[in-house]
Amino acid sequence: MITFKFGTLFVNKHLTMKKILLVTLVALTSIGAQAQTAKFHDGMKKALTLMDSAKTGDDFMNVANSFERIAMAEKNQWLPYYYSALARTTALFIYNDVTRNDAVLDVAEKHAMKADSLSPNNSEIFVLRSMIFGGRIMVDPMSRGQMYGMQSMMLLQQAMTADPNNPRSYYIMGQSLFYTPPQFGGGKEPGCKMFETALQKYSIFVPQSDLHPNWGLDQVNQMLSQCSATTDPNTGKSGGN
Amino acid sequence: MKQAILLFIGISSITALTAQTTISGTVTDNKKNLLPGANIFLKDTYDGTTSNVDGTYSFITTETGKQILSVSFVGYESFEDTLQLNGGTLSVNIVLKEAFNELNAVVITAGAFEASDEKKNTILKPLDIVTTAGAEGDIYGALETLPGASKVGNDDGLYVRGGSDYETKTIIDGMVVNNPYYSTVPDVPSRGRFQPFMFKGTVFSTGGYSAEYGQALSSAVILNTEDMPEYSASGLSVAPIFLGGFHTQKFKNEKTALGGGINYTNLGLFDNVFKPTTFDWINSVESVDGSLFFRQKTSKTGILKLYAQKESSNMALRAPDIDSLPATDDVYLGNNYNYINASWREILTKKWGVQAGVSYSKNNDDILVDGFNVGRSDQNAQGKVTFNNEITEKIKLRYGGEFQHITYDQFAGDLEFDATDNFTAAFTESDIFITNDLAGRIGVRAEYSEILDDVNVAPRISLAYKTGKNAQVSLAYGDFYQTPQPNYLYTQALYPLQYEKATHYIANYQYITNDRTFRIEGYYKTYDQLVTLTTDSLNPFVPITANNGSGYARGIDLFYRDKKTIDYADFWISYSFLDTKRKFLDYPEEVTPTFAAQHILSLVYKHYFPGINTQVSGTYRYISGWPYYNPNNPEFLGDVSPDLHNVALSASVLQSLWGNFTVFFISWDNTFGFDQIYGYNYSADGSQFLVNQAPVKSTVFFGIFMSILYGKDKNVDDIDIDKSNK
Repeated sequence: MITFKFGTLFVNKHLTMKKILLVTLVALTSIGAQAQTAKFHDGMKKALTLMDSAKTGDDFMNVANSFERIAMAEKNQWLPYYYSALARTTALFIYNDVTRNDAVLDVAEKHAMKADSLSPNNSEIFVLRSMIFGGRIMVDPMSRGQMYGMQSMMLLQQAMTADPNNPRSYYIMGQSLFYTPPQFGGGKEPGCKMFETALQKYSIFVPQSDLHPNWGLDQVNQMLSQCSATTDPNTGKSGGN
Repeated sequence: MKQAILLFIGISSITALTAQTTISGTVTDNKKNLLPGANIFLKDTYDGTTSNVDGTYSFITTETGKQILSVSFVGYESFEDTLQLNGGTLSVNIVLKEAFNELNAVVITAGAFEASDEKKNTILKPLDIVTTAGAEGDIYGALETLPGASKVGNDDGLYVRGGSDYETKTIIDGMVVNNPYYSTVPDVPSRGRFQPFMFKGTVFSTGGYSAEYGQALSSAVILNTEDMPEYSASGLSVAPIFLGGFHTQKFKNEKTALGGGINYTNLGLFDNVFKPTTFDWINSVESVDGSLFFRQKTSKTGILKLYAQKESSNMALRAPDIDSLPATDDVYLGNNYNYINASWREILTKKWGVQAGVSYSKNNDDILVDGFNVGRSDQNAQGKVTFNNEITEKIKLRYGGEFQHITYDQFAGDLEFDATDNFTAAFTESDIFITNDLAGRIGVRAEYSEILDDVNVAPRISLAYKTGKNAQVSLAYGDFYQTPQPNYLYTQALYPLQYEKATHYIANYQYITNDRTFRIEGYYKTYDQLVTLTTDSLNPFVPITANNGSGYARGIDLFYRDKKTIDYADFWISYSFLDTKRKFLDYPEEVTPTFAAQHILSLVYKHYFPGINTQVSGTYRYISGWPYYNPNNPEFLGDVSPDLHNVALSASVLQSLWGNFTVFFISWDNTFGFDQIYGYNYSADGSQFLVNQAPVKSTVFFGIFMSILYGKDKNVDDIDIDKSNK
């Protein structure tokens, strides 16, 4: 019945109707698209706010799940995958529970590689992947340190090549150096030097949007305050035993 | 027009008037354990939440109509359920099924100790081999600190669970290696020829091993060489008695690597300081060896590996002749050894993989005792192909075949004996995961030896059941055959021999976390058809060989390793209890053989001092003594050597020298100078005896190892530039 009615209408006011339908359709799609962008933006923003206030490992895992949900719904945005992996890696550094590190890192790595396939040669993703290798080392520093450490460093080099102004690659490089004994080419001095470079890079860094990675400055300042203190990081407990 | 406007309003009002639905419930596994941390969401929306510590969840959604509730959680299969959302509240209790994951799944472990860098929890890591005091960087020396294994006196070879040294075989990349130890003469201890750093993984099986391997009644030392090196590197080792260097070059294409090394050893200086008490050196051990290796990635997943090693050594000594004291014998040994191994591995399809290899070895020992030639030589050429077929995620099939052409020569003055064997073997084996917690391995191996003109068929079965998150029990059963030792094959035409046989029954419990390992294993073995020798009164120089021997071995092996209890410390304790008797060779009846000690205890302790970058390691070893032959005792092998204690200490200091990673190390074997008496050697008439003991009671060894690593983008051409920048 309705079809019939509509059909009549269509026959009678053929041209006008077609035009209106077209206009409505266009309007609806663009509203839809805008709504979609706004929804993504809001969803991401909400999750990023949660991430800023996250403290415990569980908090970070919850945030990671939020990002994962966005990632799964969007499928072609690299940022939610990036943050899901980042939050998981962060959670793991807080938990430091070697028995489950690898399982958590496997997911983080999967999401980082998804992000990488959506946004190839991205400096931020190289840094993230380097951090994941750092997490792998924590599981068994004695036997994994050399191999994964090398891979972690290579990724940071790739990150610097892809974007020489990404401050996070210098920050993470600084971290690696800071906690590596001088016998293996690290130490407080080269680490702190790298933090200063990172600070410089942060001062000129402008994120692409309010959703793009823009973290690390606080941590660099914190590390730099440790640099001016007199304690030597290598007399702290090494993960080796 | 009106209609269109209505339509438009209708669409907008749908968005405005959406109903809210609350979805809540619990997440558990199929054993009703609550699962916190699971990600619960409506598919293709952002709506969802994470399950709480008590496994509950609740979230509000504005979606309506048909929606898919999806749950993802590490270690579990994903869950989906279609819901009809009409506002109000919905209660959905979710039960997740544990995903099949080989890393968490039960592992078939009965009998095997694995040392590798893979993710899996392993008992010994390759690095442990070089940092264990007393092992002196020797693979077999490190394996000796595990339960069930022991060296015996000055003999080379590893004796496992009441088996003779000939019952332990070394396998590199799937292929058996003849002569894995440096050639030596009685009274001079030896060590393994192959450097531990060549290998990415070691599986030391003390019994019940895979049908892939045969020709070993007791044990298999399975070594897998490194694949593509991570980076180019050079190394230099310097010690008063040793000079060695190597270089590995990884090419820019990331597909090819080429390397080689050369070592020179001269124990002269060492032997002047630590003079042997049981003999005098005429010429100290002097040896040169060189190695070459090549790696080529043949595709994304394929790799071709080639390794070649050549060695030449000689020594001469003067030892007392027990049957005509104080006369002495001059013994000379010159050894030439060649080994080459090439293997190729490729993943053909998602379900199929292949590994193929060929190897060749040639060993020549020129041995002169007072000018009388008792030299020997052997050659082994072999090929092997193995296929892996993943039928399903839970059923894996492996099968393959191998062929060996082996020749042996033995000289006795002007006489020469020889034996040739063409040996063929085929095996098939299936790993079946019945559940995540229960797995079985069923295999069978068949062998044909031309010289024995005999076929054997050996079934092997293992089962493993996971009893807890970190605990599991395993059972294994298997038949094992080996061709008798070559020296008994020379008279094969006269006195035909067949395979020697052993049957293993093993039960094992283990508890492994990242920092602690506990393992207990009980075993029972029977021996059949062991070679026996009887004297032929008509021809006393050629004994009559037969397969009339038999015996048993049973015992308990205990292992505990702990990296957690003491900060910066890692220690392990191994204890073996062994009860074994056998009739073989010239034994008149079943007795405990000369290589079986009832109790063996090893304690290994390593401590890292971060402030001074030094690792200190100590090993204590106790052996309750081995039976030895005393013609004055009417009971055959009725005497047992005294208890043996040994403490070895070592220290490694890690330093940066001219920007290169450098290790200074010192090791001190038998630090407290305990007597190292392995038994007594009697003259045939029983009137004279000599102490069978370590030639040197206590030894000290020190040296420097420096390695230069080149980063990914640093090739040899760039090294000079790099150095000038420093």
